[in-house]
Amino acid sequence: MFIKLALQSLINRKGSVVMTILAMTVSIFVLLGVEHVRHQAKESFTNTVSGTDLIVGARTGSVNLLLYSVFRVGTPTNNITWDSFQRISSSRNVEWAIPISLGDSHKGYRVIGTNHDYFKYFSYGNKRSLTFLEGKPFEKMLDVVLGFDVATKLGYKLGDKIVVAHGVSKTSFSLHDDRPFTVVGILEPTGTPVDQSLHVSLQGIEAIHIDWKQGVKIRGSTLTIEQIEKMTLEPKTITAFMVGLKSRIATFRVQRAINNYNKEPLMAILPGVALSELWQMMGILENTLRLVSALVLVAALLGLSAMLLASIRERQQEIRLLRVVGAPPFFLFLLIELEAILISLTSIFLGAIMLYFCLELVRDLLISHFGLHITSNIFSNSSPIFLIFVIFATLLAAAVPSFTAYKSGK
Amino acid sequence: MRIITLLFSFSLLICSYCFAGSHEHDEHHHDEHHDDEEKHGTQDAHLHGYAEANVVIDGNSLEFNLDSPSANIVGFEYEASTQSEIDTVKAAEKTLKNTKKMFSFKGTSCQAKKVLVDVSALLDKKTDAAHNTEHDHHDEHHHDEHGDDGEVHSDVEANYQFVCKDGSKLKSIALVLLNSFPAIETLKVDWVKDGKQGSVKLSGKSNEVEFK
Amino acid sequence: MIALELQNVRFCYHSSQDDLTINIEHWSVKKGERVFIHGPSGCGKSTMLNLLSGILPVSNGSLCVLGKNLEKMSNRERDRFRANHIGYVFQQFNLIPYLDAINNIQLARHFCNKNKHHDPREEIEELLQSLNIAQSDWRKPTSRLSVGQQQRIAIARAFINTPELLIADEPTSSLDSNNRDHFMSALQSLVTKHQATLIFVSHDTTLAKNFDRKESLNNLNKGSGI
Repeated sequence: MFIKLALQSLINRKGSVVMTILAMTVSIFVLLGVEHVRHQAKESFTNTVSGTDLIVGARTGSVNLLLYSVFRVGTPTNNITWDSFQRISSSRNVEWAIPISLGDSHKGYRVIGTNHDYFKYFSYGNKRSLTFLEGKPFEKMLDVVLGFDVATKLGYKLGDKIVVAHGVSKTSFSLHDDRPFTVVGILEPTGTPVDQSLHVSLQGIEAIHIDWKQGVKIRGSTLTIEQIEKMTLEPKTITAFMVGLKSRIATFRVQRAINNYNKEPLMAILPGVALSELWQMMGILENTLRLVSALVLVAALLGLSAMLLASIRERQQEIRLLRVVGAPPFFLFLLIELEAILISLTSIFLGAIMLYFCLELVRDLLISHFGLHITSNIFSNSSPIFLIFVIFATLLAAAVPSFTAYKSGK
Repeated sequence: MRIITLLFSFSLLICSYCFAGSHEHDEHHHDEHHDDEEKHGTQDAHLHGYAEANVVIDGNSLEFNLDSPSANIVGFEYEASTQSEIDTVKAAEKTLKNTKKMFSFKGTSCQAKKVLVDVSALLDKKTDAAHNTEHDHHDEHHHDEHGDDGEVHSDVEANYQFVCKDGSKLKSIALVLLNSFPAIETLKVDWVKDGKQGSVKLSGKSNEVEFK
Repeated sequence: MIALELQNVRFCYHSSQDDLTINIEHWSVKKGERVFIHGPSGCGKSTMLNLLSGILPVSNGSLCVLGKNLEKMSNRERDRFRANHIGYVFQQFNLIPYLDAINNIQLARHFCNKNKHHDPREEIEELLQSLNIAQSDWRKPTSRLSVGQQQRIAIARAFINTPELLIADEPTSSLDSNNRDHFMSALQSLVTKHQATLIFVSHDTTLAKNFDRKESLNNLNKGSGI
């Protein structure tokens, strides 16, 4: 009866109630959205680097090195020599090292030059390693292994030929069209930037650049693929490499040793540390967004409170009637609080649905622009706590009109 | 829908600003210490009031390194000459060696296995030699590295090795050293534990490194 | 048997004792008696009814309703007592406008502890039928019904908990003569059926003919009224 009364009364005042619900819905959408994206971004980034102890590249900012080597955001400042890679990867503390060579792309997706160790040692999330959906690692010079999204979005299957473009722009006109790659493998989805990458051998990268100079194709070059395959194509430089250590206790010692490497200015970063630094930089932004979303909620709650307060003025007769049939003043207090909770719950429900569909809509955009994988499962992390907080805040905001009802019932 | 588009483009804008910001910030940093790097590789910023540390936990072993400009520890950067300066250095060294005054472990107990405190930059050769023999049994390559740049820098370095009862249960470390050396206003701590990595900036008010 | 007994009952809205709204030395009503109260507006009718039903607490004196001393009860107890023993019909706004007739009656039932486990549905339907409310109107929001129908449903609502005391506050003043007669006969027959005590307030003295007693509040109340 209690709930029926509150519900019917809300339905009776649909106009103002719907507006209030809309305001609350938007605020809950913003609140949940900010929290979800924030949390997911961190989780996604952390998952991606969780299997790597160190990343080594040219001297630059640690966040910069992390972003371009792992997340394909931004561009490398400088390359490092193949010699340095070989020396460091064979040092006693290093278990494995995965070279990475960036600079080419295919229809906006980055091409990574690497070696077999990539498929063997790269791990993400909770120690999960890469697995093949179809095919196998690259064997020949012009073989390519596709990340899951590349294959599905562009509709490639095993055996397809792919032309790689020079540079990372989506509309690059300088194509390596004389030496197309053959798809030999497609990886399972990982939820990391691996899904948006094309993996080729370092030799492949060398081969397509063999008759290029300063990013421009030299005309009249007629080396055939057979001729190139006979050459020993050792890369002179790579962009960066990922390192796994035999013993993690040595992490900082190895980092220090690499930073003090005397042949060439190198930088080793701990990816998790660099991420922490990135989050620290984003901290103010994060908190600003949270503050704004909290303020939006406060505004909506004040609107709710005002609406309920106005409704009590209109409902004096109803209150008198309820008193006469024996309702204690506390019942009136609870009735108004219940109406507020019903509004709040409806808004949470609508806000969650709205967020779900918006995430579905912008997901591809986030993946292609930032390599950010956001699940649409918005109730996975701290959001339940937030919703409890919203309910609590609703109770608090509705206390004023509820108390007015209580008093007018006295 | 319009609001969403607006919000989203707003967040993109801010994100791109942040990424761009991070480059600038770090490049600036890089330039500032370029001369240093030519000689010693990446010697970290020598800022008074600022120090760096790192801690790594692997199984039950725990290693902690502290690297601070001498000024934060003893109040000066030159070689101690007067008796009172030498006393100050000795007192600081004693504090640095007293792990109880440096750390407080939460979640499990840890026993110090090796403690290595390097205040060589602040003491003249004679006293320094005595100090070195005291720890002669350490053949850490850590020590070797110091050979290259030991004379020039004016940093105090300390290396601690602990064995914990159950490393996996270690929740956090409170760095009470921030109370012992209040001149360290900011301590950047990088940490590695069970494959997780992170970094925190601590001060006297919040001195706890949480591993999460 | 005495249904109502007032002894030196005083009431004032503000704490100052010099501005008494109600000041009744002695007044009593026997059980089953039907009392017609009349008086000009502003003589304290509504206040007195609010005192009798326990909505307002008396400032002073003793007010005994159905053998219970209301002035000794807490607010909560008076609310409970009213729900269980007193039926009330107003001039208007007797029903929650957005609920239908059945829900309105059920709402009155909700606060009463009598016969809690027994489904009141049958009783409600019986009451509505006896009051000549067409079945097609039972499930309509009461705001869509005529004033005459609304007042009759109000009687049903007031009687659902079989009250020993029924208080009616100018229940007919918004009705036309036809509906008024209809209302009065329905009320009288239900009062008879339940052997309830009836306190009926109106300024329309032509209605007084079927009552046991006719009282002028002006003579009764020595206070200022409002």
